[in-house]
Amino acid sequence: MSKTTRIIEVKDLARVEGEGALHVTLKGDVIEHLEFSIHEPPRYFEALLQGRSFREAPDITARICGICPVAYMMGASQAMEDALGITVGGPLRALRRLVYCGEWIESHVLHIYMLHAPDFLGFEDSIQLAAKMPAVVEKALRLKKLGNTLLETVGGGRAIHPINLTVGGFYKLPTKAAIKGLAEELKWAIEASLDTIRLVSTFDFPPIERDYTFVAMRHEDEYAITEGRLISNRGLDIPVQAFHDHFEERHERRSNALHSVLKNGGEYLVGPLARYALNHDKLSPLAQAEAKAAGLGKVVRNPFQSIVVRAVETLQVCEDALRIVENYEEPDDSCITVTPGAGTGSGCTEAPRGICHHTYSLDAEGRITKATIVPPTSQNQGSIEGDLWDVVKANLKRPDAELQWICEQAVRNYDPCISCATHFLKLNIERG
Amino acid sequence: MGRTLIIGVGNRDRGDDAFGLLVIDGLREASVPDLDLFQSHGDAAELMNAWAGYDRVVVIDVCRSGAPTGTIFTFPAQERPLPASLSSQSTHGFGLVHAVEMARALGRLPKELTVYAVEGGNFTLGEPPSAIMRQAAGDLMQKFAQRSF
Repeated sequence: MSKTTRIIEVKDLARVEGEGALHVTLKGDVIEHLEFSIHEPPRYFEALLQGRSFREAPDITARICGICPVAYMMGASQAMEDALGITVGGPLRALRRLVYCGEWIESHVLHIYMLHAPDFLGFEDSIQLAAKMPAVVEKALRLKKLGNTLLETVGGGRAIHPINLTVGGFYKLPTKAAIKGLAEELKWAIEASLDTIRLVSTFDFPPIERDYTFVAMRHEDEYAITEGRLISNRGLDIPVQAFHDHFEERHERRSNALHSVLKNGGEYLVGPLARYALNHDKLSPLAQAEAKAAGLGKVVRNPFQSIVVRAVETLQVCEDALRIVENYEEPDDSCITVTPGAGTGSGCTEAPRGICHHTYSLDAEGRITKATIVPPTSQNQGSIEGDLWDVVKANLKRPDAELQWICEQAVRNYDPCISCATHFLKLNIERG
Repeated sequence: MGRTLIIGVGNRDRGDDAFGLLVIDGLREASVPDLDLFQSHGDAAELMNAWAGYDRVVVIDVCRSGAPTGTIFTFPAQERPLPASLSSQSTHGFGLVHAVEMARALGRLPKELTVYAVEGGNFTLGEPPSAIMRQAAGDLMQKFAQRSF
């Protein structure tokens, strides 16, 4: 093998949210340098939250992301509720899960069909996919529309940046008729989700397996989305309030996003593979059976198979949403009364890409004195680079164009939300 | 020909990117009859759902080409593909250009779809649109109010 230097460089990754880049330098068969960098400008959300009322946090943090605003609204709301000593239960809790199911459907379907499937099918993008497989894309658009409709119905008429979620519940309750009206389309969506699993399970997956430290939420009664404890496959089992005792964020010079690591264990993985591995027993019987039929074990360590796990999770949330819709009774009140006060609280939910953790401190008037938000993509940066090392090593013999293609695909396995990951970097100015 | 839909695409929190929304605001205030109006963040699936069933659609979005701020480009999308350089800063890069080309591939393009792409200059978070863009939005609103598309 020659010692020729090869450089694989992608200055602007396509089909991901935000601006990221990839650089690999090879000397013969040796990887000299590899980095996944984020050059999306920092957005300083945590700083601009300081001094604002606790009630404003859900709507301000929703603006961090157009794809997963519910994750931010819910995490912020629950952190405030934790700080102020209230719990949202019963039908209000069910409504929260319902709107979150909508977010999962629209996010997972967008990623599966429009952003990731073209990689496996050899298309440049979803437009080529639409030209060659129009029925598949029509189905995807209808599924995504259902996700948007769930958000609009519960979230105050808006699919992007909904406005109806608040600390303690909702500003206005959706009518029983509006919720019940979702049932028929959800029944169709369950069938469409089964088709999705069956389609993506036929893709060819590069044979890469990694020994991840999985971190996800777990709840005794359900496939955890809106609440639970934080657990790992290496013995972690903590309440969300203890997150910062076990995890820390580090600044890497190459990236505008902080890297989150386990204090005693380095990189870890959040998102579909982690949730699936740690909560397989909480999937519905149908989702478990379909996962098995799709060739998945109870733990999936091949990052390229995340597309199949997303499809299984789409089925799960369509089933969950239908159950909530069928059982829905309008609560007496849209919101629990909340009294401002001093305190510190944490909230954590499973955004489509993985856990999204919030911690806030409040003064006696309920003004935010400190905000710390850890989004999923900042937690997955280490795993993304770890995957890339293995992918490059396993594909050294490929021509540069093919190696670049599979590297980009490996990044897209994570459905990374780079804009989300870059809102919290502290700015240090050194003056000579 | 049936009703006309005018879609304004943009983000009110990103300076000149609010342009398309301002045009729709103006048309709503003026209560122009027989025009349907829609404001969008630019999500491709949302756009395709919005224009379903319409024969004539106008979409207003902001672009960056290096031209002077406020310059208006028009593209008859039913006749030819939109320039790839129009790909917007939409979420996951799945925006207006994808909506138009995917609709074309699926046979879901309106008979007449005109895209007005207006050159923006400032997209800073939290800033209002510039005076030039506000003036241009007012001019375009007047043109549409006179049913000139």
